[in-house]
Amino acid sequence: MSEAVLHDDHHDHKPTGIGRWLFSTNHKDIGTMYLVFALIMFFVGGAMSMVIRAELFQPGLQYVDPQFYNSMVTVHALVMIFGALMPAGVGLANWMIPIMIGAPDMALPRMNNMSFWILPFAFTLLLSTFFMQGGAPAGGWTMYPPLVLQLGDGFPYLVFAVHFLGISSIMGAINIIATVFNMRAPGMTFMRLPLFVWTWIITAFLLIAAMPVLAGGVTMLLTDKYFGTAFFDAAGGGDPVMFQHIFWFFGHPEVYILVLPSFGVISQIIPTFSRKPLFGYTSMVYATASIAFLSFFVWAHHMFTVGMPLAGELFFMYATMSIAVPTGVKIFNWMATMWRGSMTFETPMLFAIGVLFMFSIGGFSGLMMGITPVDFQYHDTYFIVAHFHYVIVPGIIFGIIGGIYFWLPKWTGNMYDEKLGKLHFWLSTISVNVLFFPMHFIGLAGMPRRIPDYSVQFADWNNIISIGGFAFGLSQLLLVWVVIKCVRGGEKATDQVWEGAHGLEWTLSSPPPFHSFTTPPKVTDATAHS
Amino acid sequence: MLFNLTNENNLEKTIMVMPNRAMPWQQIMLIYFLISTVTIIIALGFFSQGFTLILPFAGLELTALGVVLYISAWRSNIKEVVCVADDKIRIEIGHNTAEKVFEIDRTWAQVVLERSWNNWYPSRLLLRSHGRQLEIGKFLNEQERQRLAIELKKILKK
Amino acid sequence: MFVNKFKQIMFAISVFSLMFISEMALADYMNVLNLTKGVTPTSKMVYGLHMQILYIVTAIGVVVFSVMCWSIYHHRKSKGAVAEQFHHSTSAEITWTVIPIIILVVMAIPATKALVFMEQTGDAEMTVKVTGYQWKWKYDYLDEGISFFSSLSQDSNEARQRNSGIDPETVENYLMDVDNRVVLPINTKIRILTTAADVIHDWWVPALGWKRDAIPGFINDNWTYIEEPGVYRGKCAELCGRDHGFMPIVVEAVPKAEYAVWVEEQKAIQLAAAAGADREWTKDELLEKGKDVYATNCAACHMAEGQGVEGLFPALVGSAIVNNPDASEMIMLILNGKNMMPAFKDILNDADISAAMTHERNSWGNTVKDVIQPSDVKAMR
Repeated sequence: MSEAVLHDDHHDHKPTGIGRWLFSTNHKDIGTMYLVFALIMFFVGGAMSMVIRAELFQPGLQYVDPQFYNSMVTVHALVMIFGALMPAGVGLANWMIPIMIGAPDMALPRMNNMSFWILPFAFTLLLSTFFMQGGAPAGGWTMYPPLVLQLGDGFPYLVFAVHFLGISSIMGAINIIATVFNMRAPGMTFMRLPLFVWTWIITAFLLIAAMPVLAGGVTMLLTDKYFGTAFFDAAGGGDPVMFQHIFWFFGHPEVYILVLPSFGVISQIIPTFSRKPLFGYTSMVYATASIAFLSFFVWAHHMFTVGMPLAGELFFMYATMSIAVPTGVKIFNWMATMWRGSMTFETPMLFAIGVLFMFSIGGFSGLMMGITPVDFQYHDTYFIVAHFHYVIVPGIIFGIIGGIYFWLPKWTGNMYDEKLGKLHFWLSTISVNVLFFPMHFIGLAGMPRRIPDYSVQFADWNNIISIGGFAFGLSQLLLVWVVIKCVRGGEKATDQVWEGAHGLEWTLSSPPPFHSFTTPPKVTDATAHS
Repeated sequence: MLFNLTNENNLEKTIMVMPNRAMPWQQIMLIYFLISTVTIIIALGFFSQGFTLILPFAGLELTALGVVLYISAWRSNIKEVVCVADDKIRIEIGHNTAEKVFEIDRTWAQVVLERSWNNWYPSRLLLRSHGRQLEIGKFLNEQERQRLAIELKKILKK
Repeated sequence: MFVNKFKQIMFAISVFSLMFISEMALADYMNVLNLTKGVTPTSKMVYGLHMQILYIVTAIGVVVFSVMCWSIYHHRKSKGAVAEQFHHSTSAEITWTVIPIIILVVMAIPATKALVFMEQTGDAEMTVKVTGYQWKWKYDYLDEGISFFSSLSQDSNEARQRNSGIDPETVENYLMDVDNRVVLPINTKIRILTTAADVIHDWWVPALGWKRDAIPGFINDNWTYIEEPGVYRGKCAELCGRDHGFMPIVVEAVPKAEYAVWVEEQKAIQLAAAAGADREWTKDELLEKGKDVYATNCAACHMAEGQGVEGLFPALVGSAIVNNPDASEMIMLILNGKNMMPAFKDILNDADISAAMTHERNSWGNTVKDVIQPSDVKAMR
């Protein structure tokens, strides 16, 4: 920023072609690229889940080899988590955080550009393994040794892809921390930050604490395979279970890394459409922080069946149950925000309410699985598949989609097609429940996860589940259509866009930022968070 | 942030602009220290169990975080001082001292607030004179830049 | 229009609650909706705990969702609701922190009891060691010296091949049947040790009420006490490679007297097998046995016709090693394994290996067509 020169008069020319995007350091450009990338990966990962559901449509093997099926299961998870959910969260952060805190841009714009462009590179590495000797990763996204070490030529590509994805998220997290620390507008104190910014700060801290653990873990896999170390090889004095400890020490905070930004989004949406300030702002901040804190003490509930000492099992059971308390506080605060408000139900609000209902269902099954003795039955069945898909799809993805509908008029200056948006919501909600709810039943009845074929008593439910899956996949094409339509034109959005909207982002014009202000923005409690 | 440094009995009018520093360096260091402690404790915990390769990654990451925090704090320390005298406008830019000094002729000076081709990019505030121009207040947010433009125009009119 | 929308919402909500309620009401009648009650004290305890938590979360769900629906219905703008501006209430916040804590404590007490009960592995009357292999199970009866492998049954295995043309509905116990069942006595405290030879597996029979990982290099300690005779089926529950979905478990629980008879039979079979390794076999004997050994141990990777899977598992048809007149390289490879191929020296006996090799070297147009005797294998061990 310090390079200033006197130079010849010339006018700012419109940058043309790919260069505008390739070298852009503007937070809105980069945010847009993140979101578009996330959408593309959402469909790539979605296509893989369609392969899975097609194979499971009826018993017997029809379309793919079991090994390829395992690859689909594995890469679907990696693509969705690292390619769709995290970039979507970072995209929203890039777009909204500078505007929400009154900063001109992110703290390090060039690093911002780099952290985005690492992603396509990392996914090229990951997806190229499909064309290699030994195929794509097929040992589950959790990469448990010794199974993952059986992967062929694709193994180092998997490890390096994970490294690059980690580097990208770390750069994003560092940038967000520096931006929020240094670049808030005068008067924008921490306790006046919009909740979306708060959830992202906490997410960034989680990333900083958890990512080195994953990076170290996969590196030790690499040295185990190629350099003769025996970190996880029992024959050489190592312990394969320790990888699971390491992985989930990263993996459980990762769950919150994914879910907290979505919580932040609906904390912005619900007050807006209830026309009422967010209930219990302070307790929301503390609840978020304590969820993040507790997330470092519950990792072993992902691996109750490895055979831990009784004391360990009890500790992780109690710690896991205790997370229900701050999570409950958040749900109740959202309910209290809606209580005695004056609600309208535009698409973002519908998605936020969808999150409230269906994330709660995921929370209930989560609580059930926290009970260790019963988890011995639930573990690695479709019950857990139902649980985490309820948390991720109608919990996180609905939150992100709600945020996209919420801010799309601000980004483009045009209103989206409300009718299509609502149609998208109802189609998604119905199909997502047809897709995931019956998984509870077959899981309890004894169908293990990650199997390409099943015994015939599960045939009927799998049939229904697959139909729900195809319907959900198709419904998402509607989102693409609504977004394209909105970008190309439509009814002009006002600056405030939504009647009940408060906060800095709504005082700027749509799209931001140009307008002739005569007074600087003043941040007061009334406008900071609502 | 804008500061009008004009002294009442001075003929020169002086405006200083600098980015808003939302957090003092001491506080940044304190939080950095806390984050580092947590991350290092985790890494050392695994190290003590024989899983040595987590520590170097934690170290690299914390170094990167420290460097980034330092750079962004350093950048938010920049000041631009515009002194408008009778015949000249002097612009001093620097962190602790005036690292660059520009002078332009006041008579032909013009304040231009240029919006970008697409209004989702930030505007640019330009001081123009004799076909040369200097951008100032790049680090300001949109509203502050608007205010700076208005202030400068007011001064130059007199 | 808004009324319509709320009808829709209410409809959706009632569908959810119906699903929950139907789950409870039909629990006892339909076995593809709920957890099995099982046949051990552990499984019954777990089932009781499961139902208890299910009722609690359903009750919480009904209350929370009703409040939300009531609020959505009454506090909407189209009905003329005016927003109030309150934004905190300490008493409410304390209430909804404390009540969940109380509920959690109520849930934690029986859960702790159950867990402590499940971990009492001492004073068992007999011990069975379960070892997971890619992709079959090995059972060692440590007290009786009986030891055998248990793989997916032949008819399921044929039907599960891609585009086999066999309708799984016509196969009895499709993917849930094995060649050798684990026979266990009822009313006996049995210690079950789980471990694995290659990657992590997980031994799970729902009717026993637990699953436990089988981890290479480590032994996990479990116990069971089956109260009712019957056949109980389970599966591997930890992703363990290509055929993870195809390594079922079948436990046959029988009265103690019947179990004693079975033990004697098994001992006799093992003696016969040991004797078989030392005698000279005819080519026909070897080919006949080799076909079976190949199907259960080799076909999962090298496929039924020895064609392999491109990029993953090499073909045996025309393979230089298989067609080498000097069999020693092939014997060493089978005994010690290579890359993904497991070492078979502890899995198969000499007769099995020689039979499988004879089968491979005489089939699918392979040219050697010689006979490998068990003594040839024995010599290489």
